[in-house]
Amino acid sequence: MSSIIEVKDLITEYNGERILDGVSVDVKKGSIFVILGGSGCGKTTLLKHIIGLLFPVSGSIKVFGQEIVGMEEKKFEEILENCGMLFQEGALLNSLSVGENIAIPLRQHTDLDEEIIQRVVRTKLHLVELDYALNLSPSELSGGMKKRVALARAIALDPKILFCDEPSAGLDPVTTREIDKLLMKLRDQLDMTIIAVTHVVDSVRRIADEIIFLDDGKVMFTGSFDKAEKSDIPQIKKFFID
Amino acid sequence: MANSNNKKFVLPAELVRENSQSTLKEIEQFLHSIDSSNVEIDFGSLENIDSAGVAVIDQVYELSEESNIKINLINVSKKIDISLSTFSSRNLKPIKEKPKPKLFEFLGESGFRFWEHVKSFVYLCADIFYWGIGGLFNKKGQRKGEFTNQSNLIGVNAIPIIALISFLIGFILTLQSAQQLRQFGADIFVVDLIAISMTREMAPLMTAIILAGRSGSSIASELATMKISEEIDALKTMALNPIKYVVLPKLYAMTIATPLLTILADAVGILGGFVVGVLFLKIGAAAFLNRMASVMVLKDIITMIVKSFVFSWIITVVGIYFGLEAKGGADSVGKNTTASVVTAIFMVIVADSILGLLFY
Repeated sequence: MSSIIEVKDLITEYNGERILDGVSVDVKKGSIFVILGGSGCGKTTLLKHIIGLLFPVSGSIKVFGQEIVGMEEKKFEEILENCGMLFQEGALLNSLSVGENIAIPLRQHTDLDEEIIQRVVRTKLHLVELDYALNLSPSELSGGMKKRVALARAIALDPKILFCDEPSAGLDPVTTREIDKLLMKLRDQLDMTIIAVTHVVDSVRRIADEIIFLDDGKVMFTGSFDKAEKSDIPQIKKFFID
Repeated sequence: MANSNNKKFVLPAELVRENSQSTLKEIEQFLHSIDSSNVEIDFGSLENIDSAGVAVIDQVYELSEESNIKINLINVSKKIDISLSTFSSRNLKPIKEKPKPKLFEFLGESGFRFWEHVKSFVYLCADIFYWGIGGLFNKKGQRKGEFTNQSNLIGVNAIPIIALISFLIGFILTLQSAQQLRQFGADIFVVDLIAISMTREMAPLMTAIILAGRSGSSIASELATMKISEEIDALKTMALNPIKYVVLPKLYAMTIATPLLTILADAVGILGGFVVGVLFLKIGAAAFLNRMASVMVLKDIITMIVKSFVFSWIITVVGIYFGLEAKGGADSVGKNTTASVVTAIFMVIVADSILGLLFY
């Protein structure tokens, strides 16, 4: 499999404190790549760098083979049209209905007629099993439902890469399994590359093709879940035991 | 199986969001151009389809059903078939839209909602009154140091803007009036005008309007954010009364700060008039001050102080009410903050008219 994202020697600082210290990552196309680590180790920071929400002090980030550090904004927007992001809290726009939230990228980035857009919106809502929520307001949804709607919005344009920040946090085990199944379905059937930050070990076991373990801004481990579970590195052992 | 009058449309190599709309138009034109009841759509060349492409195929099905044309999909690969089954919207149940209320339903609902607002406003006023009096004697459940903090935010930080605006108002008011009075040789009466109008009307009103925009909006948006992020509920579950913990320091700070700011606005406004009087109208400084002392009475000062107290309570209570009424998300914070400022200014002007009549 070819690489779709390559991060090399990424260094980032916040208020003089080093958050990521020489992180290198290689994500294969059509795989589920999971970023693991304790709270504050730099997982979300790494994700936000890859999607261009934060800028590094030094290092290289290539997405679809193109260097995004210092890239022109318009060119980067074209890359973003092929990426979807599921935020930790969903980040739905409360002034719009569920259906309108999912339709945002379709209305902004395509020339599709409203009839086609509505079909795509309903399909995506069906995939996250929230057909009935089409006309509801995000404020009428529970936390888990908001996250599923946010996932539907993230995949509205059938992105080639889907970034998920804690896709299972706050969800019940049944919904977590359903979300995991959907992520695997997107990988298997649509060849989507998924990069997820998560703490839920059961979920990681189910979905991860490859994991990276961060500790104090440094990469401690890269490899499969099975290898990680058998690792002798104290931080990783502690993570799986806890 | 194809028959003699079968027609075929061959799909391109990709049917994705970039070319879905144009392909749909081509298919529509094709369907209109044929006179056959059987049409084949050939997927043989199609290598890639996304959800927008599948939506186009679904749309074609629907169009063909309306035109009594039978659609057959041919040469569908396994990969494409998976995408079709994953993204098809054909078997989804229609969503029932909420019917729009009719005129009388709308009027009834609006009336009911208004009555509910009135009720909650009255309850809130009663709560604030009860805890506001009680809180003076019992500090338990109040946040330590918050009164000082709020007094700084509402009072001290507002001094520069209130002083500047009041000075300019006094300056302009005197300048414009003097032009008219000069025609009658009545320049000195400009002192009566500025002293009385600033004290009785402009100082309390302008201070209240500035505070409604500055502090009223801040109170409303802070409480609205606390409400939607469940901070108010968190206080309740810690057995803390949100009125005592959050609202009282703001109420007390407004009650103290507004009259003081109004006195400042009055003094600086008159100073603005004094500058114009002495520098432009050539009224002597002593003459200006003597005239001012002779025309102003205690009732003017009392009117100003009473108005400032009333306005401060209006701004605070309205800000608190709209803040606590927020529901949903960020949009609600914006809407309720705007509503609080508009309502507070409206109620301040109504109250000003009533007090103006009472103290006439």
